[in-house]
Amino acid sequence: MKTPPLSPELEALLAPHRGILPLAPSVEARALARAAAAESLEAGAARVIARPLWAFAVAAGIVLVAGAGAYAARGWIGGPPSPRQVHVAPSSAPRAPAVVSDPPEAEAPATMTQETPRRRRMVRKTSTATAAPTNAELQLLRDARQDVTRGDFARALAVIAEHVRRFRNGGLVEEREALRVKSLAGLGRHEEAHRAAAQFHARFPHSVFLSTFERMNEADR
Amino acid sequence: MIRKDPVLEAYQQEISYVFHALRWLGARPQEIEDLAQELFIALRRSWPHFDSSRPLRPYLFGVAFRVVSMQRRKRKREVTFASLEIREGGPGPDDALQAKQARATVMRALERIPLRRRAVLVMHDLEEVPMKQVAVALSIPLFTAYSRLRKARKELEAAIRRTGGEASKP
Repeated sequence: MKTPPLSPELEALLAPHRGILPLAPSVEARALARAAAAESLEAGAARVIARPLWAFAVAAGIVLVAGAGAYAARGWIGGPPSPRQVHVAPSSAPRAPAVVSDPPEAEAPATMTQETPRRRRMVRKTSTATAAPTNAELQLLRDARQDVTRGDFARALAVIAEHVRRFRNGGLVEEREALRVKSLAGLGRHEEAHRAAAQFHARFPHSVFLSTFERMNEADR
Repeated sequence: MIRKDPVLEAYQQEISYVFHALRWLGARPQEIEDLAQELFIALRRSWPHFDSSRPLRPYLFGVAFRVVSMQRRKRKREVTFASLEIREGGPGPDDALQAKQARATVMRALERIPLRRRAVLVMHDLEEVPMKQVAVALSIPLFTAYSRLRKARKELEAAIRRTGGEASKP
């Protein structure tokens, strides 16, 4: 198959743009620093992930076996039902008078059987919306914060990018985005910092970090 | 001091090209540095699969294409963020050179072409990469690459006409 030639108009339009414009030295240096930071970060993350994998597998196995054992034991042992159990699943067996004569609990089963699944569903929904921060997430943001404190803003941005990749909707998004604003401002990328700050303000209108941004703004002036 | 490893070295050599490719693929100026970093991470992961007997630039362009595509998908999901974007007010930079204007015209026209087809057009008609390599770099059949090129050229011509018309309006 042969490529059809470009029309003369398109050729004339595209020809001047075939060369590659060299980057500004500062941009190039920044990009290389970020690449180097990303590389060291990746290597570190790989080490952290590789080590506890077997430990996690063993722990998960133990929990599973223990859980299955407990569940099976509950069924086998049975044991005398507690007063609450008697009300939830009434049986034909004769009951102790003290339990039967307890009217508020006797009414409970009908409402409980209807409400429990809904409540469970609601709990599950909220737990996904606000993910609790994990140790790895905390560690990553701690690194970013230390980089900001040290003044290594390029590395901080690399760590922040890694956080976005691994914990997009993690429990520390607010802290991450605040660090992004500080890092951008620290690198002198004021326009981007302002943009990030505006996005932050819209996303977290009641954040305690907003006052910090205002102070940064005043300092800029 | 930057540690010398082959991926970083290759990236360092081609850093201007990386930025150039990202720009042609329609990355926003404020995103380019972040995307370049993501490209480096992707490159590092895919490096074992890179055939060193082949030229590096088409491969880099393929990685850039994937990174930009992923970025666009993310941007589509984040509707609230996209709508929050602040317009950069004030006049543009002072260097109103003709070459820059022409570049901007081409860029505006390219923006009207869907990314998949634009990647083929930029690679072949601007980077002058042979079609076989274009197909390999973008992981598409050769026939698909040709059909995308044909369509992209038509779209570019139409877009140029349209942008030219809009520019000539008072």
